[in-house]
Amino acid sequence: MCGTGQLEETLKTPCGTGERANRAMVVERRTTRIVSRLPLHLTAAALVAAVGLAFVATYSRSGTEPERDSIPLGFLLSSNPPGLPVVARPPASQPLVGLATDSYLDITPVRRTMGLDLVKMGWTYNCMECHALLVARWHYDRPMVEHENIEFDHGNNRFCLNCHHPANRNAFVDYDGSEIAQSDVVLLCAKCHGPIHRDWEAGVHGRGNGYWDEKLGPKTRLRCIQCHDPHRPRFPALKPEPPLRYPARAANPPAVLHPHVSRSESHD
Amino acid sequence: MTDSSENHASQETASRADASVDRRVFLKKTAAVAAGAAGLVAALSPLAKLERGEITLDALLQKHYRKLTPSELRHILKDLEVQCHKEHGVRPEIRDPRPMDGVEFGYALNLTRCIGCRRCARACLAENNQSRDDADDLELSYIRVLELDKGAINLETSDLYYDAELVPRQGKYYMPVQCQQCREPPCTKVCPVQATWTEPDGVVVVDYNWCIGCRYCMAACPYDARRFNYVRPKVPAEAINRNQSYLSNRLRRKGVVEKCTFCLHRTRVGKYPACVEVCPTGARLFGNMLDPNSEIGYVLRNKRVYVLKEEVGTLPRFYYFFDA
Repeated sequence: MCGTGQLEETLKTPCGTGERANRAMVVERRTTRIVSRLPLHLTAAALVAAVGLAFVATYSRSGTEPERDSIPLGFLLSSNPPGLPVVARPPASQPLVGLATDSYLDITPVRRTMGLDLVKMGWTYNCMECHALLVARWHYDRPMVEHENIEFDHGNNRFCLNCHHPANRNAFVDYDGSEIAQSDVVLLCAKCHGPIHRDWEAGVHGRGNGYWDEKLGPKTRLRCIQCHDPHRPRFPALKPEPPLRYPARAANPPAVLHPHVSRSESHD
Repeated sequence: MTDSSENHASQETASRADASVDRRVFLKKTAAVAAGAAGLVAALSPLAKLERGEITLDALLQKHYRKLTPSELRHILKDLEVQCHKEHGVRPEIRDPRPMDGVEFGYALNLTRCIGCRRCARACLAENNQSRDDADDLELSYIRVLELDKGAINLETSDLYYDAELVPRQGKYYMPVQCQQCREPPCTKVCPVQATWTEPDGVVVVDYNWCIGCRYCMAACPYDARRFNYVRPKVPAEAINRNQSYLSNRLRRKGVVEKCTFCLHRTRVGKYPACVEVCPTGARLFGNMLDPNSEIGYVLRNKRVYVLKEEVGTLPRFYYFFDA
Protein backbone atom coordinates (compact mmCIF):
# COMPACT_ATOMS: atom_id res chain seq x y z
CA MET A 1 0.00 0.00 0.00
CA CYS A 2 2.14 2.75 -1.27
CA GLY A 3 -0.31 5.55 -0.42
CA THR A 4 -0.33 4.93 3.31
CA GLY A 5 3.06 6.35 4.13
CA GLN A 6 2.40 9.46 2.14
CA LEU A 7 -0.83 10.23 3.95
CA GLU A 8 0.61 9.64 7.36
CA GLU A 9 3.43 11.96 6.58
CA THR A 10 0.92 14.57 5.55
CA LEU A 11 -0.98 14.10 8.77
CA LYS A 12 2.10 14.54 10.90
CA THR A 13 3.31 17.64 9.10
CA PRO A 14 1.49 20.77 10.18
CA CYS A 15 2.39 22.50 6.93
CA GLY A 16 1.25 20.43 3.95
CA THR A 17 3.39 20.37 0.84
CA GLY A 18 1.36 22.83 -1.13
CA GLU A 19 0.84 25.71 1.27
CA ARG A 20 0.02 28.94 -0.47
CA ALA A 21 0.51 32.55 0.49
CA ASN A 22 -2.86 32.80 2.18
CA ARG A 23 -2.39 29.84 4.45
CA ALA A 24 -2.52 31.92 7.61
CA MET A 25 -5.87 33.25 6.56
CA VAL A 26 -7.12 29.78 5.83
CA VAL A 27 -6.04 28.59 9.25
CA GLU A 28 -8.01 31.36 10.87
CA ARG A 29 -11.12 30.63 8.85
CA ARG A 30 -10.94 27.01 9.76
CA THR A 31 -10.45 27.98 13.36
CA THR A 32 -13.52 30.15 13.26
CA ARG A 33 -15.53 27.30 11.90
CA ILE A 34 -14.34 24.88 14.54
CA VAL A 35 -14.87 27.39 17.31
CA SER A 36 -18.50 27.77 16.40
CA ARG A 37 -19.03 24.09 17.00
CA LEU A 38 -17.48 23.85 20.46
CA PRO A 39 -18.80 24.59 23.91
CA LEU A 40 -18.09 28.08 25.21
CA HIS A 41 -15.50 27.16 27.76
CA LEU A 42 -13.33 25.74 24.96
CA THR A 43 -13.87 28.67 22.67
CA ALA A 44 -11.52 31.02 24.42
CA ALA A 45 -8.73 28.48 24.53
CA ALA A 46 -9.18 27.60 20.89
CA LEU A 47 -9.16 31.24 19.90
CA VAL A 48 -5.91 31.88 21.70
CA ALA A 49 -4.45 28.82 20.05
CA ALA A 50 -5.65 29.97 16.67
CA VAL A 51 -4.11 33.40 17.00
CA GLY A 52 -0.88 31.83 18.12
CA LEU A 53 -0.96 29.40 15.25
CA ALA A 54 -1.64 32.18 12.80
CA PHE A 55 1.37 34.12 14.04
CA VAL A 56 3.56 31.08 13.85
CA ALA A 57 2.27 30.27 10.39
CA THR A 58 2.88 33.80 9.20
CA TYR A 59 6.37 34.28 10.54
CA SER A 60 7.95 30.88 10.89
CA ARG A 61 8.51 30.63 7.12
CA SER A 62 9.48 34.23 6.49
CA GLY A 63 13.00 33.10 5.69
CA THR A 64 11.88 31.06 2.72
CA GLU A 65 9.00 33.16 1.49
CA PRO A 66 8.63 36.82 0.66
CA GLU A 67 7.55 39.01 3.54
CA ARG A 68 3.86 39.72 3.76
CA ASP A 69 2.62 43.26 3.95
CA SER A 70 0.31 42.88 6.87
CA ILE A 71 -0.86 40.31 9.35
CA PRO A 72 -4.13 38.91 8.06
CA LEU A 73 -6.05 39.00 11.29
CA GLY A 74 -8.76 41.33 10.05
CA PHE A 75 -11.54 39.03 11.11
CA LEU A 76 -10.79 39.72 14.75
CA LEU A 77 -11.33 43.42 14.22
CA SER A 78 -14.36 43.10 11.97
CA SER A 79 -17.92 43.49 13.14
CA ASN A 80 -18.49 39.74 13.41
CA PRO A 81 -17.99 38.46 16.91
CA PRO A 82 -15.36 35.74 16.97
CA GLY A 83 -16.87 32.32 16.71
CA LEU A 84 -19.81 33.46 14.65
CA PRO A 85 -18.78 33.42 11.02
CA VAL A 86 -21.24 35.05 8.68
CA VAL A 87 -20.33 32.87 5.75
CA ALA A 88 -21.24 29.24 5.45
CA ARG A 89 -18.51 26.84 6.44
CA PRO A 90 -15.64 27.37 4.01
CA PRO A 91 -14.50 24.35 2.07
CA ALA A 92 -11.86 22.33 3.79
CA SER A 93 -8.57 21.99 2.02
CA GLN A 94 -6.63 19.00 0.88
CA PRO A 95 -2.87 18.89 0.66
CA LEU A 96 -1.57 18.75 -2.89
CA VAL A 97 -0.61 15.36 -4.16
CA GLY A 98 2.43 14.59 -6.26
CA LEU A 99 5.49 16.75 -6.62
CA ALA A 100 5.84 20.27 -5.29
CA THR A 101 7.45 21.25 -8.60
CA ASP A 102 4.17 20.48 -10.35
CA SER A 103 2.19 23.06 -8.42
CA TYR A 104 1.54 24.98 -11.66
CA LEU A 105 -0.75 22.08 -12.55
CA ASP A 106 -4.06 21.59 -10.80
CA ILE A 107 -3.05 18.67 -8.58
CA THR A 108 -5.32 19.23 -5.61
CA PRO A 109 -7.59 16.26 -4.96
CA VAL A 110 -11.24 17.16 -5.36
CA ARG A 111 -12.48 15.69 -2.11
CA ARG A 112 -12.78 18.17 0.72
CA THR A 113 -12.04 16.43 3.98
CA MET A 114 -12.55 18.12 7.30
CA GLY A 115 -10.59 15.53 9.21
CA LEU A 116 -7.26 16.54 7.77
CA ASP A 117 -7.90 20.15 8.70
CA LEU A 118 -8.60 19.16 12.28
CA VAL A 119 -5.46 17.09 12.43
CA LYS A 120 -3.39 19.88 10.93
CA MET A 121 -4.70 22.20 13.63
CA GLY A 122 -3.40 19.90 16.27
CA TRP A 123 -6.50 17.86 17.01
CA THR A 124 -6.28 14.13 17.17
CA TYR A 125 -8.52 11.76 15.36
CA ASN A 126 -9.31 10.12 18.64
CA CYS A 127 -13.04 9.47 18.42
CA MET A 128 -12.91 7.73 21.79
CA GLU A 129 -12.40 11.10 23.46
CA CYS A 130 -16.17 11.36 23.30
CA HIS A 131 -17.25 7.85 22.56
CA ALA A 132 -15.75 6.43 25.71
CA LEU A 133 -18.81 7.99 27.33
CA LEU A 134 -21.26 7.53 24.47
CA VAL A 135 -21.78 3.84 23.87
CA ALA A 136 -22.87 2.50 20.53
CA ARG A 137 -26.59 2.60 19.97
CA TRP A 138 -28.37 0.31 17.61
CA HIS A 139 -31.38 2.48 16.82
CA TYR A 140 -31.06 2.74 13.11
CA ASP A 141 -34.56 4.01 12.51
CA ARG A 142 -34.24 7.21 14.46
CA PRO A 143 -33.06 10.42 12.76
CA MET A 144 -29.44 11.07 13.62
CA VAL A 145 -29.00 14.06 15.90
CA GLU A 146 -25.22 13.84 16.13
CA HIS A 147 -22.76 14.06 13.20
CA GLU A 148 -25.41 16.02 11.38
CA ASN A 149 -23.08 16.99 8.59
CA ILE A 150 -22.87 13.42 7.37
CA GLU A 151 -24.97 12.85 4.30
CA PHE A 152 -25.42 9.15 3.96
CA ASP A 153 -25.78 7.62 0.53
CA HIS A 154 -23.80 4.41 0.23
CA GLY A 155 -26.23 2.09 -1.50
CA ASN A 156 -27.22 -0.95 0.49
CA ASN A 157 -24.54 -0.24 3.03
CA ARG A 158 -26.82 1.72 5.35
CA PHE A 159 -25.67 0.96 8.87
CA CYS A 160 -22.95 2.76 10.85
CA LEU A 161 -21.62 -0.40 12.38
CA ASN A 162 -21.13 -2.10 9.03
CA CYS A 163 -17.92 -0.13 8.93
CA HIS A 164 -17.39 1.43 12.37
CA HIS A 165 -16.32 -0.80 15.21
CA PRO A 166 -19.08 -0.93 17.82
CA ALA A 167 -16.74 -0.74 20.82
CA ASN A 168 -13.66 1.03 19.53
CA ARG A 169 -14.60 4.12 17.54
CA ASN A 170 -10.99 4.65 16.53
CA ALA A 171 -11.15 1.53 14.41
CA PHE A 172 -13.20 -0.03 11.70
CA VAL A 173 -14.70 -3.44 11.89
CA ASP A 174 -13.95 -6.54 9.88
CA TYR A 175 -16.44 -9.28 9.01
CA ASP A 176 -15.40 -11.32 12.03
CA GLY A 177 -15.72 -8.37 14.42
CA SER A 178 -12.00 -7.76 14.66
CA GLU A 179 -10.62 -4.27 14.35
CA ILE A 180 -9.23 -2.63 11.22
CA ALA A 181 -6.94 0.28 12.02
CA GLN A 182 -7.85 3.70 10.68
CA SER A 183 -4.72 3.72 8.58
CA ASP A 184 -5.83 0.46 6.94
CA VAL A 185 -9.08 1.90 5.65
CA VAL A 186 -8.30 0.37 2.26
CA LEU A 187 -8.83 -3.07 3.76
CA LEU A 188 -12.20 -1.98 5.10
CA CYS A 189 -13.38 -0.93 1.66
CA ALA A 190 -11.95 -4.13 0.21
CA LYS A 191 -14.51 -6.07 2.26
CA CYS A 192 -17.06 -5.28 -0.44
CA HIS A 193 -15.11 -3.77 -3.32
CA GLY A 194 -12.76 -6.65 -4.05
CA PRO A 195 -12.10 -6.17 -7.76
CA ILE A 196 -11.50 -2.45 -7.29
CA HIS A 197 -9.15 -3.15 -4.42
CA ARG A 198 -7.26 -5.56 -6.68
CA ASP A 199 -6.96 -2.84 -9.33
CA TRP A 200 -5.90 -0.31 -6.72
CA GLU A 201 -3.16 -2.61 -5.50
CA ALA A 202 -1.93 -2.84 -9.09
CA GLY A 203 -1.99 0.95 -9.34
CA VAL A 204 -4.79 0.96 -11.88
CA HIS A 205 -7.66 2.33 -9.81
CA GLY A 206 -7.34 5.80 -8.35
CA ARG A 207 -5.25 8.79 -8.94
CA GLY A 208 -1.49 8.47 -9.47
CA ASN A 209 0.99 11.29 -9.16
CA GLY A 210 4.71 11.83 -9.21
CA TYR A 211 6.94 9.33 -10.99
CA TRP A 212 5.80 6.45 -13.16
CA ASP A 213 9.29 5.02 -12.74
CA GLU A 214 9.73 4.34 -9.06
CA LYS A 215 13.47 3.93 -9.53
CA LEU A 216 13.67 7.64 -10.34
CA GLY A 217 11.33 9.13 -7.78
CA PRO A 218 8.33 8.67 -5.53
CA LYS A 219 4.90 7.75 -6.76
CA THR A 220 1.90 8.74 -4.71
CA ARG A 221 -1.34 6.89 -4.89
CA LEU A 222 -4.32 8.15 -2.96
CA ARG A 223 -6.27 5.89 -0.67
CA CYS A 224 -10.02 5.29 -1.04
CA ILE A 225 -11.24 8.02 1.28
CA GLN A 226 -8.98 10.69 -0.18
CA CYS A 227 -11.20 10.77 -3.25
CA HIS A 228 -14.43 9.17 -2.07
CA ASP A 229 -16.48 10.33 0.88
CA PRO A 230 -17.06 6.99 2.59
CA HIS A 231 -20.57 8.04 3.59
CA ARG A 232 -21.37 9.15 0.06
CA PRO A 233 -18.89 7.41 -2.17
CA ARG A 234 -20.09 8.44 -5.60
CA PHE A 235 -17.41 10.63 -7.16
CA PRO A 236 -18.76 14.19 -7.04
CA ALA A 237 -19.89 15.92 -10.20
CA LEU A 238 -17.50 18.69 -11.18
CA LYS A 239 -17.77 21.89 -13.10
CA PRO A 240 -15.94 21.28 -16.36
CA GLU A 241 -13.38 23.61 -17.81
CA PRO A 242 -14.91 25.84 -20.50
CA PRO A 243 -15.32 24.12 -23.85
CA LEU A 244 -13.35 24.56 -26.99
CA ARG A 245 -14.76 27.61 -28.66
CA TYR A 246 -16.81 26.96 -31.72
CA PRO A 247 -14.92 28.79 -34.47
CA ALA A 248 -16.62 32.11 -35.12
CA ARG A 249 -16.72 31.52 -38.85
CA ALA A 250 -18.29 28.10 -38.44
CA ALA A 251 -20.82 29.44 -35.97
CA ASN A 252 -22.12 31.88 -38.59
CA PRO A 253 -21.58 30.16 -41.91
CA PRO A 254 -22.25 32.14 -45.05
CA ALA A 255 -25.74 31.06 -46.13
CA VAL A 256 -24.86 30.65 -49.81
CA LEU A 257 -22.11 28.06 -49.42
CA HIS A 258 -24.04 25.00 -48.35
CA PRO A 259 -27.68 25.97 -48.25
CA HIS A 260 -28.75 22.33 -48.10
CA VAL A 261 -26.81 21.58 -44.89
CA SER A 262 -28.26 23.10 -41.78
CA ARG A 263 -25.99 23.74 -38.83
CA SER A 264 -27.72 21.28 -36.55
CA GLU A 265 -27.33 18.54 -39.14
CA SER A 266 -23.68 19.30 -39.71
CA HIS A 267 -22.51 18.54 -36.19
CA ASP A 268 -25.06 16.09 -34.93
CA MET B 1 -5.72 23.05 -105.66
CA THR B 2 -5.75 21.58 -102.28
CA ASP B 3 -2.12 22.66 -101.80
CA SER B 4 -2.77 26.31 -102.65
CA SER B 5 -5.79 26.53 -100.40
CA GLU B 6 -3.78 25.01 -97.61
CA ASN B 7 -0.96 27.47 -98.26
CA HIS B 8 -3.35 30.34 -98.34
CA ALA B 9 -4.85 29.36 -95.05
CA SER B 10 -1.51 28.74 -93.45
CA GLN B 11 -0.23 32.17 -94.44
CA GLU B 12 -3.16 33.83 -92.78
CA THR B 13 -2.79 31.72 -89.74
CA ALA B 14 0.92 32.35 -89.70
CA SER B 15 0.57 36.09 -89.77
CA ARG B 16 -2.04 36.03 -87.06
CA ALA B 17 0.08 33.62 -85.12
CA ASP B 18 3.17 35.78 -85.53
CA ALA B 19 1.43 38.74 -84.03
CA SER B 20 0.10 36.79 -81.05
CA VAL B 21 3.38 34.96 -80.48
CA ASP B 22 5.05 38.31 -79.91
CA ARG B 23 2.59 39.22 -77.21
CA ARG B 24 2.68 35.76 -75.72
CA VAL B 25 6.46 35.68 -75.62
CA PHE B 26 6.50 39.08 -74.01
CA LEU B 27 3.99 37.99 -71.35
CA LYS B 28 5.86 34.76 -70.76
CA LYS B 29 9.14 36.54 -70.31
CA THR B 30 7.62 39.09 -68.01
CA ALA B 31 6.03 36.39 -65.90
CA ALA B 32 9.26 34.42 -65.78
CA VAL B 33 11.24 37.44 -64.72
CA ALA B 34 8.68 38.35 -62.08
CA ALA B 35 8.58 34.79 -60.74
CA GLY B 36 12.35 34.61 -60.75
CA ALA B 37 12.65 37.87 -58.89
CA ALA B 38 10.04 36.80 -56.35
CA GLY B 39 11.79 33.48 -55.92
CA LEU B 40 15.11 35.16 -55.43
CA VAL B 41 13.67 37.47 -52.81
CA ALA B 42 12.04 34.51 -51.07
CA ALA B 43 15.23 32.49 -51.25
CA LEU B 44 17.22 35.34 -49.79
CA SER B 45 14.72 36.22 -47.08
CA PRO B 46 16.47 34.00 -44.51
CA LEU B 47 19.56 36.09 -45.12
CA ALA B 48 17.54 39.22 -44.45
CA LYS B 49 16.28 37.61 -41.23
CA LEU B 50 19.85 36.73 -40.41
CA GLU B 51 20.82 40.34 -41.04
CA ARG B 52 18.08 41.56 -38.71
CA GLY B 53 19.11 39.06 -36.04
CA GLU B 54 15.84 37.12 -36.13
CA ILE B 55 17.68 33.87 -36.67
CA THR B 56 21.22 32.82 -35.98
CA LEU B 57 23.68 31.45 -38.47
CA ASP B 58 23.61 28.12 -36.66
CA ALA B 59 19.85 27.93 -37.00
CA LEU B 60 20.04 28.85 -40.69
CA LEU B 61 22.63 26.20 -41.44
CA GLN B 62 21.21 23.63 -39.01
CA LYS B 63 21.34 20.02 -40.10
CA HIS B 64 18.52 17.56 -39.50
CA TYR B 65 18.03 16.92 -35.79
CA ARG B 66 19.07 13.31 -36.06
CA LYS B 67 22.36 14.24 -37.72
CA LEU B 68 23.39 16.83 -35.14
CA THR B 69 26.47 16.27 -33.05
CA PRO B 70 26.08 16.83 -29.30
CA SER B 71 28.00 20.10 -29.41
CA GLU B 72 25.94 21.42 -32.32
CA LEU B 73 22.79 20.53 -30.43
CA ARG B 74 24.06 22.31 -27.33
CA HIS B 75 24.63 25.44 -29.37
CA ILE B 76 21.14 25.24 -30.84
CA LEU B 77 19.53 24.75 -27.44
CA LYS B 78 21.43 27.74 -26.13
CA ASP B 79 20.37 29.86 -29.10
CA LEU B 80 16.76 28.82 -28.60
CA GLU B 81 16.92 29.86 -24.96
CA VAL B 82 18.29 33.26 -25.91
CA GLN B 83 15.72 33.66 -28.65
CA CYS B 84 12.87 32.76 -26.29
CA HIS B 85 14.18 35.28 -23.78
CA LYS B 86 14.26 37.94 -26.48
CA GLU B 87 10.80 37.18 -27.86
CA HIS B 88 8.86 36.28 -24.74
CA GLY B 89 10.84 37.78 -21.90
CA VAL B 90 11.36 34.46 -20.16
CA ARG B 91 14.59 32.49 -20.11
CA PRO B 92 13.65 28.79 -20.31
CA GLU B 93 15.83 25.77 -19.70
CA ILE B 94 15.68 23.79 -22.92
CA ARG B 95 17.01 20.27 -22.64
CA ASP B 96 16.97 17.30 -24.91
CA PRO B 97 16.21 14.22 -22.80
CA ARG B 98 16.83 11.04 -24.76
CA PRO B 99 14.65 7.93 -24.77
CA MET B 100 15.37 5.56 -21.89
CA ASP B 101 16.67 2.08 -22.63
CA GLY B 102 14.10 -0.69 -22.43
CA VAL B 103 11.19 1.73 -22.32
CA GLU B 104 8.26 1.91 -24.68
CA PHE B 105 5.55 4.21 -23.47
CA GLY B 106 1.93 3.16 -23.42
CA TYR B 107 -1.17 4.97 -22.32
CA ALA B 108 -4.51 3.64 -21.14
CA LEU B 109 -7.69 5.54 -20.51
CA ASN B 110 -10.50 4.19 -18.38
CA LEU B 111 -13.69 5.45 -19.99
CA THR B 112 -15.77 4.32 -17.01
CA ARG B 113 -13.90 6.75 -14.79
CA CYS B 114 -13.61 9.74 -17.12
CA ILE B 115 -16.17 12.39 -16.17
CA GLY B 116 -15.38 14.85 -18.95
CA CYS B 117 -14.12 17.68 -16.75
CA ARG B 118 -11.49 18.78 -19.32
CA ARG B 119 -8.87 19.24 -16.61
CA CYS B 120 -6.48 17.31 -18.85
CA ALA B 121 -7.02 19.61 -21.83
CA ARG B 122 -6.40 22.61 -19.64
CA ALA B 123 -3.30 21.15 -18.01
CA CYS B 124 -1.92 20.36 -21.44
CA LEU B 125 -1.82 24.09 -22.14
CA ALA B 126 -0.03 24.88 -18.90
CA GLU B 127 2.54 22.18 -19.56
CA ASN B 128 3.21 22.50 -23.25
CA ASN B 129 3.20 26.27 -23.86
CA GLN B 130 0.61 26.21 -26.63
CA SER B 131 -0.44 29.49 -28.16
CA ARG B 132 -3.70 30.82 -26.72
CA ASP B 133 -5.72 34.00 -26.87
CA ASP B 134 -6.57 33.70 -23.18
CA ALA B 135 -6.45 31.11 -20.43
CA ASP B 136 -9.70 29.46 -21.58
CA ASP B 137 -8.65 29.05 -25.19
CA LEU B 138 -8.31 25.29 -25.71
CA GLU B 139 -7.85 25.54 -29.47
CA LEU B 140 -4.30 24.22 -29.50
CA SER B 141 -4.62 21.84 -26.59
CA TYR B 142 -3.55 18.38 -27.70
CA ILE B 143 -6.58 16.80 -26.00
CA ARG B 144 -10.13 16.90 -27.26
CA VAL B 145 -12.80 15.52 -24.92
CA LEU B 146 -15.79 14.06 -26.74
CA GLU B 147 -19.20 13.58 -25.17
CA LEU B 148 -21.18 10.58 -26.39
CA ASP B 149 -24.50 9.01 -25.52
CA LYS B 150 -24.08 5.90 -23.42
CA GLY B 151 -23.98 2.99 -25.81
CA ALA B 152 -22.95 5.11 -28.77
CA ILE B 153 -19.75 4.05 -30.47
CA ASN B 154 -19.81 6.21 -33.60
CA LEU B 155 -17.61 9.23 -33.00
CA GLU B 156 -19.56 11.16 -35.61
CA THR B 157 -22.34 11.39 -33.04
CA SER B 158 -20.02 12.88 -30.43
CA ASP B 159 -20.16 16.43 -29.15
CA LEU B 160 -16.92 18.31 -28.76
CA TYR B 161 -18.45 21.56 -27.57
CA TYR B 162 -20.57 20.33 -24.64
CA ASP B 163 -21.00 23.08 -22.11
CA ALA B 164 -22.49 21.64 -18.95
CA GLU B 165 -22.91 23.13 -15.51
CA LEU B 166 -21.74 19.88 -13.97
CA VAL B 167 -20.25 16.74 -15.46
CA PRO B 168 -20.79 13.85 -15.93
CA ARG B 169 -24.21 14.43 -17.43
CA GLN B 170 -26.93 11.84 -17.17
CA GLY B 171 -26.77 9.25 -19.94
CA LYS B 172 -23.45 10.44 -21.36
CA TYR B 173 -19.93 9.15 -21.40
CA TYR B 174 -16.77 10.98 -22.23
CA MET B 175 -13.87 10.08 -24.44
CA PRO B 176 -10.72 12.20 -24.49
CA VAL B 177 -8.77 11.87 -27.72
CA GLN B 178 -5.18 12.88 -28.24
CA CYS B 179 -2.20 11.61 -30.23
CA GLN B 180 -2.33 7.83 -30.22
CA GLN B 181 1.45 7.52 -30.80
CA CYS B 182 0.83 4.93 -33.51
CA ARG B 183 3.25 2.15 -34.33
CA GLU B 184 2.35 2.74 -38.00
CA PRO B 185 1.91 6.50 -38.00
CA PRO B 186 0.51 7.84 -41.27
CA CYS B 187 1.60 11.35 -40.31
CA THR B 188 5.31 10.62 -40.43
CA LYS B 189 5.05 8.80 -43.74
CA VAL B 190 3.61 11.80 -45.55
CA CYS B 191 6.06 14.37 -44.27
CA PRO B 192 8.02 15.58 -47.32
CA VAL B 193 11.00 16.75 -45.26
CA GLN B 194 11.10 14.12 -42.48
CA ALA B 195 10.44 16.73 -39.84
CA THR B 196 8.38 14.21 -37.86
CA TRP B 197 9.34 10.68 -36.86
CA THR B 198 8.92 8.00 -34.20
CA GLU B 199 11.45 7.92 -31.39
CA PRO B 200 12.71 4.62 -29.94
CA ASP B 201 10.40 4.92 -26.93
CA GLY B 202 7.39 5.17 -29.21
CA VAL B 203 6.77 8.90 -29.13
CA VAL B 204 6.05 10.58 -32.44
CA VAL B 205 7.81 13.93 -32.40
CA VAL B 206 8.06 17.02 -34.58
CA ASP B 207 11.20 19.10 -35.11
CA TYR B 208 9.79 22.61 -35.17
CA ASN B 209 13.01 23.91 -36.72
CA TRP B 210 12.63 21.52 -39.63
CA CYS B 211 8.85 21.66 -40.23
CA ILE B 212 7.86 23.57 -43.36
CA GLY B 213 4.20 23.87 -42.36
CA CYS B 214 2.68 21.98 -45.29
CA ARG B 215 0.19 20.27 -42.94
CA TYR B 216 0.22 17.00 -44.89
CA CYS B 217 0.58 15.25 -41.52
CA MET B 218 -2.59 16.89 -40.24
CA ALA B 219 -4.46 15.62 -43.26
CA ALA B 220 -3.02 12.14 -42.77
CA CYS B 221 -3.81 11.81 -39.07
CA PRO B 222 -7.08 9.92 -38.49
CA TYR B 223 -7.33 11.23 -34.91
CA ASP B 224 -7.15 15.01 -35.37
CA ALA B 225 -4.15 14.92 -33.08
CA ARG B 226 -2.02 17.62 -34.66
CA ARG B 227 -2.32 21.37 -34.31
CA PHE B 228 -1.03 24.14 -36.53
CA ASN B 229 0.29 27.54 -35.53
CA TYR B 230 -1.59 29.76 -37.91
CA VAL B 231 -0.39 32.83 -36.05
CA ARG B 232 2.70 33.73 -34.11
CA PRO B 233 2.28 31.86 -30.82
CA LYS B 234 0.92 33.99 -28.00
CA VAL B 235 1.73 32.72 -24.51
CA PRO B 236 1.60 35.07 -21.53
CA ALA B 237 5.08 35.36 -20.06
CA GLU B 238 3.92 34.38 -16.57
CA ALA B 239 2.27 31.25 -17.94
CA ILE B 240 5.33 29.92 -19.75
CA ASN B 241 6.55 26.59 -18.46
CA ARG B 242 10.31 27.03 -18.25
CA ASN B 243 11.05 23.34 -18.16
CA GLN B 244 11.28 22.76 -21.90
CA SER B 245 12.76 20.35 -24.35
CA TYR B 246 13.72 20.56 -27.99
CA LEU B 247 11.25 17.98 -29.24
CA SER B 248 8.30 18.80 -27.01
CA ASN B 249 7.20 21.98 -25.31
CA ARG B 250 9.67 24.66 -26.32
CA LEU B 251 7.95 27.68 -27.78
CA ARG B 252 7.01 27.21 -31.41
CA ARG B 253 7.15 29.67 -34.25
CA LYS B 254 4.43 30.60 -36.67
CA GLY B 255 3.71 28.08 -39.40
CA VAL B 256 4.71 24.82 -37.73
CA VAL B 257 2.75 21.77 -36.67
CA GLU B 258 2.78 20.52 -33.10
CA LYS B 259 1.35 17.54 -31.26
CA CYS B 260 1.22 15.53 -28.04
CA THR B 261 4.57 14.01 -27.13
CA PHE B 262 3.42 12.26 -23.93
CA CYS B 263 5.15 15.24 -22.25
CA LEU B 264 8.50 13.66 -23.06
CA HIS B 265 10.37 16.33 -21.08
CA ARG B 266 8.58 14.85 -18.03
CA THR B 267 8.17 11.22 -18.95
CA ARG B 268 11.76 10.69 -20.04
CA VAL B 269 12.91 11.66 -16.57
CA GLY B 270 10.40 9.28 -15.00
CA LYS B 271 7.49 11.59 -14.23
CA TYR B 272 3.88 11.20 -15.29
CA PRO B 273 2.57 13.37 -18.14
CA ALA B 274 0.67 16.48 -17.10
CA CYS B 275 -2.71 15.04 -18.11
CA VAL B 276 -2.19 12.08 -15.79
CA GLU B 277 -1.12 14.37 -12.96
CA VAL B 278 -4.30 16.42 -13.04
CA CYS B 279 -6.88 13.75 -13.81
CA PRO B 280 -9.07 13.92 -10.68
CA THR B 281 -10.56 10.47 -11.14
CA GLY B 282 -7.44 8.54 -12.06
CA ALA B 283 -8.92 7.59 -15.42
CA ARG B 284 -5.56 8.09 -17.11
CA LEU B 285 -2.81 5.53 -16.80
CA PHE B 286 0.67 5.73 -18.17
CA GLY B 287 3.78 3.64 -18.07
CA ASN B 288 6.34 1.42 -19.70
CA MET B 289 4.69 -1.29 -21.77
CA LEU B 290 7.88 -3.38 -21.76
CA ASP B 291 7.75 -3.66 -17.96
CA PRO B 292 5.33 -6.44 -17.00
CA ASN B 293 4.92 -4.98 -13.51
CA SER B 294 3.85 -1.58 -14.73
CA GLU B 295 0.33 -0.25 -14.45
CA ILE B 296 -0.05 -0.25 -18.21
CA GLY B 297 1.13 -3.86 -18.31
CA TYR B 298 -1.58 -4.81 -15.82
CA VAL B 299 -4.22 -3.05 -17.89
CA LEU B 300 -3.15 -4.75 -21.11
CA ARG B 301 -3.24 -8.16 -19.43
CA ASN B 302 -6.40 -7.80 -17.37
CA LYS B 303 -8.72 -5.31 -19.04
CA ARG B 304 -10.52 -5.57 -22.33
CA VAL B 305 -8.75 -2.72 -24.07
CA TYR B 306 -9.52 -1.44 -27.52
CA VAL B 307 -7.94 1.11 -29.81
CA LEU B 308 -9.54 3.91 -31.73
CA LYS B 309 -10.19 3.32 -35.43
CA GLU B 310 -8.54 -0.07 -35.38
CA GLU B 311 -9.57 -0.58 -39.01
CA VAL B 312 -7.18 2.07 -40.33
CA GLY B 313 -4.21 -0.01 -39.24
CA THR B 314 -2.31 2.58 -37.26
CA LEU B 315 -1.64 0.29 -34.27
CA PRO B 316 -1.92 2.92 -31.54
CA ARG B 317 0.01 2.84 -28.27
CA PHE B 318 -3.04 4.45 -26.65
CA TYR B 319 -5.67 2.09 -25.28
CA TYR B 320 -9.21 2.67 -24.11
CA PHE B 321 -11.10 0.38 -21.79
CA PHE B 322 -14.28 0.14 -19.79
CA ASP B 323 -14.23 -1.09 -16.24
CA ALA B 324 -16.63 -2.59 -13.74
